[in-house]
Amino acid sequence: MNRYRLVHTTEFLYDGPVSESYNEVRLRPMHDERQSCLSFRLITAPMSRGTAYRDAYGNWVHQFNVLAEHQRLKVEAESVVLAHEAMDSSADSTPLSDYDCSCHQIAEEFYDFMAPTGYVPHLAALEQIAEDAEAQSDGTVAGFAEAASNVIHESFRYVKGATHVHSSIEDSLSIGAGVCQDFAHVMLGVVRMRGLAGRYVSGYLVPGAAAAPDAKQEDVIGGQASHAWVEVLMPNNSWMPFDPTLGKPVGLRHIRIAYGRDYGDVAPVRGVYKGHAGQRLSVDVRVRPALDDTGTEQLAKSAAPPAPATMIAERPQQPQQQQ
Amino acid sequence: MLSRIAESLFWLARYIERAEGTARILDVNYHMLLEQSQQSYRLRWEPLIIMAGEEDRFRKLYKEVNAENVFEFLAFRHDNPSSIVQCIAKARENARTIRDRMSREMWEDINGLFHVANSYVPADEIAAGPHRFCDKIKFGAHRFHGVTDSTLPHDEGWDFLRVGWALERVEMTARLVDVQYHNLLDTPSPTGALDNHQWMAVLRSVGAYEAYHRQYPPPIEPEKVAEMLILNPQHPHSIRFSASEVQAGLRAISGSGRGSYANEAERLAGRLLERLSYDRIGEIFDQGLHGYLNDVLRISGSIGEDIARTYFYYAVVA
Amino acid sequence: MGAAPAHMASLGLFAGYDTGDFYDEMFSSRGEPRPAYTKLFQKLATMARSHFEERRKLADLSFLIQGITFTVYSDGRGTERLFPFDLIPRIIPNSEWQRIDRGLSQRVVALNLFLHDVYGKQQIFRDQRIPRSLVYSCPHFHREVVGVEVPKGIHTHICGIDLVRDSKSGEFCVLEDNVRTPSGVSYVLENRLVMTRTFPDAFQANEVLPVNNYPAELSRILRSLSPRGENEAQIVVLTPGTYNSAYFEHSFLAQQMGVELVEGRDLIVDGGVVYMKTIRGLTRVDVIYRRIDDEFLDSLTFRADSILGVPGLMGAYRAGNVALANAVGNGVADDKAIYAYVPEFIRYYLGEEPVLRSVETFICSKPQDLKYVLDHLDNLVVKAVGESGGYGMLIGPASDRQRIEEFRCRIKANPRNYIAQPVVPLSRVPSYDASEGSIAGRHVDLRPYCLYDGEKVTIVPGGLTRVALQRDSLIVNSSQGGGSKDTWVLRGES
Repeated sequence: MNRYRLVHTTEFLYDGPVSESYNEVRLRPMHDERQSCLSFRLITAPMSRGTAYRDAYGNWVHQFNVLAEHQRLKVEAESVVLAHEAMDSSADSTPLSDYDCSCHQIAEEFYDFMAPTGYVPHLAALEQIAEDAEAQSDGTVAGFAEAASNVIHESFRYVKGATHVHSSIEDSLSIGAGVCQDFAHVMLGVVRMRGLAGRYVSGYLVPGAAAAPDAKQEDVIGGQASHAWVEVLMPNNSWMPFDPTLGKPVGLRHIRIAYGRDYGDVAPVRGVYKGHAGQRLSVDVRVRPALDDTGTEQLAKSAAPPAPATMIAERPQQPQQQQ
Repeated sequence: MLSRIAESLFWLARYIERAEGTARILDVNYHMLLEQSQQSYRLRWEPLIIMAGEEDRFRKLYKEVNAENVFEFLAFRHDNPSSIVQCIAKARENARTIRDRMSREMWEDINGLFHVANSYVPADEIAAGPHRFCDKIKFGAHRFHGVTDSTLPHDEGWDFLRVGWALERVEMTARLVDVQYHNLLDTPSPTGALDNHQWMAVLRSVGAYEAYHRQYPPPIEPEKVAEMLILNPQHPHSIRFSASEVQAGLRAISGSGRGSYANEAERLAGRLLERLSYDRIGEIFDQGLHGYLNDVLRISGSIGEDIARTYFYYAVVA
Repeated sequence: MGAAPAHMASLGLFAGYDTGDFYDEMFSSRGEPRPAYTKLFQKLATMARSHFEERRKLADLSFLIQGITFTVYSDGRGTERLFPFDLIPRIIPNSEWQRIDRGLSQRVVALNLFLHDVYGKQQIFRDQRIPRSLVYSCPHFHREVVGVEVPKGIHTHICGIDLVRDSKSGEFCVLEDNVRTPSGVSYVLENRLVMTRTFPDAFQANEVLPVNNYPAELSRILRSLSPRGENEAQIVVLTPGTYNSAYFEHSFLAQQMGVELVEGRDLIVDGGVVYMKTIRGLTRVDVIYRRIDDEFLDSLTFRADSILGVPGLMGAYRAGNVALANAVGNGVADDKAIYAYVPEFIRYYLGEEPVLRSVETFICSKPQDLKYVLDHLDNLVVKAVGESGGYGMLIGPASDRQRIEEFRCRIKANPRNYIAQPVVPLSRVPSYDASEGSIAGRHVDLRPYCLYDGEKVTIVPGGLTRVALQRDSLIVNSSQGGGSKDTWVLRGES
C-alpha cells in the first residue's frame, strides 16, 4: 500500500494570553514524478486567513496570522499522498576521479547545496568521515555517498534529546549522537566537503505497519514527528536519496515535503507572536492507509519540554526538531 | 491620524503644561517664602515637593529642604522626571517623533526652548534666584501655545493637544489647592493673622491674582480662593474651566453632540463637569475639600487612561 | 607642489592657500579660478573674515534650531550633533554634470536589470557574465525574495551613488553604489535652504539649478507603485524611530511629501494586507518607503529578534498587496565585490559602454587577486564588502604595521568578505578651517541622488558633497569628522 493519509498536528499552549501571532508552515507534500499530493488541507484553531506561495527551492509555504488574543494555537495539516513505484533508473557509475574534474561547474550551478551553512559548517572532523567512506566505497560517486550514509549510520547513535533544534553538527559530532536532523546535517557536511552537492529533505517516514497491505490501525511515524534525510546530486544530474538515520535505502515509505540547504530552510512550522507568556509545544504525526477510515484512533502525543518563560514582548514560536 | 501621533501630541501638551506650572509655582513661592521667618521655612518649602509628588526622590538626593535645593531639584535635576528641564526634554522628544505632523514653527519653537532650558548653568541660576529662569520657561510655554494656535490646523491633532493641556491643568490646580490649603491652614502663622501673603502666592502661581480682585473684595479669604480656582467658569486655570476644555476637545474628536457621549472618557469628563458646574463651594467644604479634590484627581486619571484605551492602544480584533 | 598663486597671497580668507598635489576644484594648476568658480571666488576673496564668520555662525544656529542633527552613541547616552556645514559651495560645471547624469542613469538602469534578473530568470548566470557563487555568497542576497514579482519591475527606486574625482585624471569615477536605503538627501535640500538664507549674495550672478523637486518626484514614483491605483494610494515612510541617526531625514521626507511617518508598531498585517493603526481604526497601506534594513523588516521572515519591523510584511509584499521601496534584496547589487562587475552589467544588459569609470577592484575571493592584495596591503584600501559608513576599512598608506597585519589575518580568514582598491587621491575644494580662520583645500566626494520610475532616471542636480574637514583626511563620513557643502550645478554653459 503506497497511498497514505497524513495528519500532522502542531499545538502551541501558552501560559497566558498572546496575540498578533504570525506563522509560516511547510507542510504540504511535494507533487512531482515520484509522488502525488492528491489533497492537502490546513486547519488552524483559532481560525485564520492564510496565503500561500512557493519559496526559492520550490517548496509550498502557507502563511497565516491570528491577531486576537488566544492561549492555544493548533495547526493541523492533512494530506493524501500517493508514492510512485521507483522508475528503473540505471545507477550512475561515474567514478569520483572523473567527477572531480568537472566539479567546478557543479559548484557554480549548485552553489547553495555545496556551500557551508550555519547548521552545516565545514569542519575538519567531517574529512575523516569522508576518508573512511571513500575507502569503503567502490570508487564511484554513488558508492561514496552510500558508504558515507552507512558510516554515519554505524558511528552515530540515535538518541532523542541529545541535541536540540538549533544544534549545528558540531554538537552531534562531539557526542557522536543525535536525531535525524543531525544525521542528515552530518551527511550533508561530508558530501559537500568532498565536493558533491547535497540537499536536505524534510518529510515523513511511514512505518512498516502502516504500509502493510492489511494495515487498519493508524500508527505514529518517524519517531512521532517529521523525518529528515538527504539527496545527493549524481554526475548524471539526478538526485539520489540517502537516509543515514535509517541506514536503509529510501523507498516508497519516504514522503517528501520540502528541500533546502539545511533545516533552517524547511522548518515545518515557524512563527512569532506578542505576549509575555511562556509556551509549550506538542507535535503529533499520524498516518493511515488512505482507503480505510475504520481504524481505531490511538492518539499519541509527545510533549516537548516547556520553554523557559522569558519576558520579552515579541517572541518566536518554539521550533520543532526533526527526529 | 495614527494612534501613536495622537498619543505624542497628548503627552507633548501635558509635559509643556507641567513645565509651565512648575515654573510658576516655583517662581511665585520662592519670592514669597524668602520673606518668611526661618522657622516656618521648611514647612513652606515641603508642599512644593509634595505637589510634584516627588518627596521620596527628594529625600534621597538632599539632606535639607531649603530654597536652593528645592529650586535645583524642581528646575534642573535630570534625575527628577518631574523637573522642568526633564519635562521640556520629554515634550521635545514627543515632538521629535511627530515633527512631520506639526508645523515647522512649532518644532523650531519647542526645539529652541529645549536648547534654551539646557543652556542655563544651575549654579548660576541658584545664586541669581529662579525668576529669570522660570520666566523664560513660562513665556516659552505661552509662546508655544500661541505658535501652535496660529500655525497648526485646528483638526483632531490640535484637539488632542487641547485635551492634554486641559487635563494636565485640572490635575495641577487640584494638587495646588489641596496641598496649599491644608498647609496654610494647618500651619500657624507667626503673625497670628491669616496668611494673606501666602494666599496671594497661591493665586499668583496660577496667574489668578488680578482676576480674583476683580471678582472679590479684599481681604483674601481662603474659601474664596478655593472657589475661584475650583469653580470659576472663565479663568483658564480653574478646574471647571479646564474640565470643560477636556470635554470640548474629546467631543470634537469623536463628533458626539450635547447630552451624549461616545466613550468612557467622555462620560467621565461630562460627569466631572456636571459636578463642577452645580456644586457650591460651601457644599464642597461641608463634604471635605481634600476628599473632593481627591475625587477630581481620580476621575482625571481615569479619563487619561480611557483616552489611551480608546485612541492609543485599542485592541486589534481579527 | 602646486604653489600658492602669487596674486592670492594678499587675498583675505585665501591668504596662504595651497592647492597641493591634488586636483583643486576651484583653481586650475596655474592658480587661476576655474570658469565656473570665477564669480564665487571674487565674492569670497573680497569678504572680511568677521563677515564670513558671522554668516557661518548664523548657518550653524539655523541647523541647530531646526534640529538638523544626527545622533552619536559613543557616550552611551546618545548625543545629537550637527552635521558640520561648510559655507563655501562646491560647483560642478554644467557640461561635466551632463556627463555624470548620463553615466548615473545608465548605471541605475543596469543595476535594476541585474536585480530583476538575479531574483527572477537568472539569465546572467547561464550567460556566464558573473559567477553564481559570487552573487549567492553575498550576505545581502536574500533567497526569501527569489521569484517575487515587484511592481513595474522596479527594484532601485532610490539610489545614492558615490562619486569621487580622481586627482590624477581629474575625472569623476564611481566609488560605491548605495541601493538599499541611501540617506543624506535631506541635507542636500536643507543645505540649499540655509545657504540661500545666510549667503544670498553668493547666488547673485550665478544661476544655480534648483534641487527642491526631489520630494515631489519621489512622491510621484511611490504613488505609481500602489496596488490599488494611484488615486487610492496610501503611502507611508517607515522609520526605525527617533533613535536612528537618519531620523531627521525620515521625518523631513514624510513631511515634504505629505505622507504619514510610521514606525513598525504603527503597522499591522492581517490576511496578507498591511494596515496602520489610527485613532479611527485600521487604514489600509499601499506603498511603504521603508528606511529599515531588509534583515529587520519582518521578524517572521528575517531576524526573529527584530522589533523594528512588521511581522507578516513579506507575505503582503509577496502577494502584491503592498509595494516596498526600495525592493527587498537590493543589497546584492551594492555589495563591494559585485561592484567590480557593474561595468559588465552595463554592457550585458544595455549593450552600452559605461560612461563613468569605476575604481579598479581586487576581489579577495579570487585566488590571484588575493595574492596581489596580500602582497600590496601598504598601498591599497581594503573594504569589508557588506559594511558602509567608512567602517571595516583599511587605508594601507595611512596605517601602521600592526593594523595592516590585523587586516592580513582578517582577509585570510574570510577572503569573500573583502575587496581592495588602489587609493584614489580625492580632489579638493576650498573649505573654511575655523581653527585657522582661513580657507584651505579639503578632500571631497559627491553623492548624487537618483530616482527611477521604471522608464527614466531623475537626478537631483548636484547632490551631497561630503568634505573631510580634518587636514589631509580622506574620510568624509559624518561619523568620522566629515561635513557637507551645498553643491551647485550652474545652468547653461560654464
